[in-house]
Amino acid sequence: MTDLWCFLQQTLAATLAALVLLAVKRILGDKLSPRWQLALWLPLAVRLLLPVGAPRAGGPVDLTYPLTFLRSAVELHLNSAYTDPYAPIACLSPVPWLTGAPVSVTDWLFVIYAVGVLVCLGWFLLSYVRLRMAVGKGTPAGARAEQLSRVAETYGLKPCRALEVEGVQSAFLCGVFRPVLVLPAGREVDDKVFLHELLHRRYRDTALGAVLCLLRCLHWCNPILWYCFDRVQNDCEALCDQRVLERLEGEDRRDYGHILLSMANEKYARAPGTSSMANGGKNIRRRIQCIARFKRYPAGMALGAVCCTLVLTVGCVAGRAEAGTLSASPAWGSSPAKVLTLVLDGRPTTVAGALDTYVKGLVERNPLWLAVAAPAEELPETLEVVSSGVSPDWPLPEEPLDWKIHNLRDTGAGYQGTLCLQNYETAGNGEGDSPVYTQEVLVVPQYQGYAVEPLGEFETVDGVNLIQYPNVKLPSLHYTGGDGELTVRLDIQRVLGAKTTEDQSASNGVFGSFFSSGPSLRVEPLPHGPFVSRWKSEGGVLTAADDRDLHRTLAFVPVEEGDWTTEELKAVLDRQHNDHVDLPAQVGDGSGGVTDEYLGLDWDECLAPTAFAASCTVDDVEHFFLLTLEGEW
Amino acid sequence: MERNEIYRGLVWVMWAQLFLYVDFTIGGLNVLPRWIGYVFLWRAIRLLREARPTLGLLEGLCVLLGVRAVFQTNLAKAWLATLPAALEGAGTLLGVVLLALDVYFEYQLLTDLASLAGAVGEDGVEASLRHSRDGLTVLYTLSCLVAGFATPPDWLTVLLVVGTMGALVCVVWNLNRVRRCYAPEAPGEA
Repeated sequence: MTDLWCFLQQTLAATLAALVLLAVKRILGDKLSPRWQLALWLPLAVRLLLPVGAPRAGGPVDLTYPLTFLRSAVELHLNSAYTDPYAPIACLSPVPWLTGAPVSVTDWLFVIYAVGVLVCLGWFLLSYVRLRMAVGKGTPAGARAEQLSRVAETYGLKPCRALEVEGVQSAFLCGVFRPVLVLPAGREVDDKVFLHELLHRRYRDTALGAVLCLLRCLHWCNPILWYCFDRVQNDCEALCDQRVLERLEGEDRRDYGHILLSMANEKYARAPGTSSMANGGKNIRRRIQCIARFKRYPAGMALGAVCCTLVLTVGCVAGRAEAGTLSASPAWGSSPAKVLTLVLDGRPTTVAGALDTYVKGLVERNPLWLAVAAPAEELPETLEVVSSGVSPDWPLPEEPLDWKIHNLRDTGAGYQGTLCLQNYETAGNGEGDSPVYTQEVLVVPQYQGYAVEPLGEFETVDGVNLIQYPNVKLPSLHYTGGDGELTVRLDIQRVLGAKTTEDQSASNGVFGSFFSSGPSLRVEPLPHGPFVSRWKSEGGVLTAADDRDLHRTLAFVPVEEGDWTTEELKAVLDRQHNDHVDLPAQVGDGSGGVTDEYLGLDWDECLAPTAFAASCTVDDVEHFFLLTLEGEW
Repeated sequence: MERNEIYRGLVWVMWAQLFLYVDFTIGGLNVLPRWIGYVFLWRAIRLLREARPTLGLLEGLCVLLGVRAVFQTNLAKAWLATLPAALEGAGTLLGVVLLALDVYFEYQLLTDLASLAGAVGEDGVEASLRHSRDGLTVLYTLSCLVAGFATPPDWLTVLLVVGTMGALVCVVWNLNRVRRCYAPEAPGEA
């Protein structure tokens, strides 16, 4: 948690989980034994320790949208040091962390929260130290140590050190690693009280108390969670009562209830690293009710309770959808806070989705979609455009333009390629080729999503039949290499496409299948869609040392750029399936491809490689080359 | 008299399983709605709770789950769709609560029914019903988790559906065995 909004996201998600659990516990209160009542808190523990921003851990209710709206409304007017209003809220750690000096109101609120955590922690620590000091002044329990040993031996438990301390009302265990049993000086202690505390020691309940103190500190300003932590400790005591009752018989069980009743008026302090049998009058009454119901809880519920807890854990923690939805409305003239919320909620999560959103923004003249696909540093400007309601100059004609991306490759700074757009309705219909609008773009990864950065203006290319296939008029990538005797230039053109069309029958209702006129261009973008089609073409030349062009078949496989020996090149060509091209050939003439509109393509197969291992045979001698990317023409 | 009531109650439980687990729709109309299954179970619980007091604890749960089943019908879904979107979050949270209660309810119901077999000395039937209960609960839980929170591969979906139906058949078969233990005595035997 590095800002106020991350804390709010985490604590609200935990509160929702707590409300779910309180509801379930309310209904199952008389049906599940204390053992399973305590186990039912497991989902809350997981929710508190797992940050909401972790993958697929957003929880059942999406809090991002309302929180983003609130944050946008507040932070756009501030200049906070801890909060970037243009980045999505993503809590990636369950503990607070200050990243600099506070500047704005929200920064100071977060500092107050962080200081509160430290004060709370200090207070608990101080309480514990004072308690340990008081315990340190205690005297060894002589005769009662023997009583303790006898009880431990009777019930097969390990005894622990016991001290008598003045001013203590009832017995309790103190310490996490080497707990000490603290006894009230000058007062008789029943065997059953010893048994209760020894069972706390056996099951290390004081460690649970210490963990709860830490969680109390982290959520010190959340009363619902504090109430839940109280309930956890009460359930822990009720479970210990059950364990005691399982070891007692007949009248001893009734006596145990009387002992609890005698503690109903005692003051109870939730000191860290301790377990006190007396946890307040109201809770004692609940525990007495549990004892009365001891024999009436349905037996043999272990598997059912485990399954129930599992469902609750996954239900309270797992997020059903990581990706938000993209608003279809252009949001012209909306407030900047609303526009920013819509933008951050609809951020594309795939490269294909980012390109589709960018193109649809341009083609449909929807400034919100353009803002959604814009890099974070350009967001203030794009927000201004949307909020102003004034239409900017659009670089493309108002036509139904489809898009493909050529030669997408990883440049280190992002994924660069040539975006090609063409009229979907007139392209390839034999009435003359529609012009193709091309633009070099860089798709940059940002905040668990992607944004599109144009690298130049749109240019027009004529004479292209259909942009979905490789074409000699469109640019290709050139890979070159040689071995001293031969020089190779391999030209590659790769065309990637996303799902940009939809079946018209889907929008025509029941009668759609009868009147369908085939697929039509989608109007709305798919910001989380994959690439679904890949077409490629290869060409190049093989040149001898005397500048003669040779006619040979070149075998090649994609590899990482680096220092490769001939043996390594040979090995990788032997090991992997090779592609072949007969040289010389012109790239764009002839192609092959694959389309999978349902599952999409593997991302690894979409990018143009940085290098190729290649081989060809000339005069019965096999030559091996490493071909590296030289550029794009 | 109690024997007769147990027998009738078990018959209701067996019929309820059909409505709870089988979805059969004709022309958009579900002819085996889940809520009828809960009505049958409610009747069964009222007949059986004297013989098995812990079953009485399930009466309120049965009503609650029955109401949820009503809200899962197409008619109710259409009405729910008209409610403000802000209520969607509350509905999701309530869904998680009810799903957990559903898992618990089915498990405890079958546990108590198995105990009815044990009460007449049919330990083999009791153990058999408990085993099929375990299988059904685990598979049902997995089905809920997989369907609700992830996109499962087809083979897993098929495996879970076939497994759940297999466990359900075992449960019904064992319930029938329990029912036979409480078959009304012929007048001559009495």
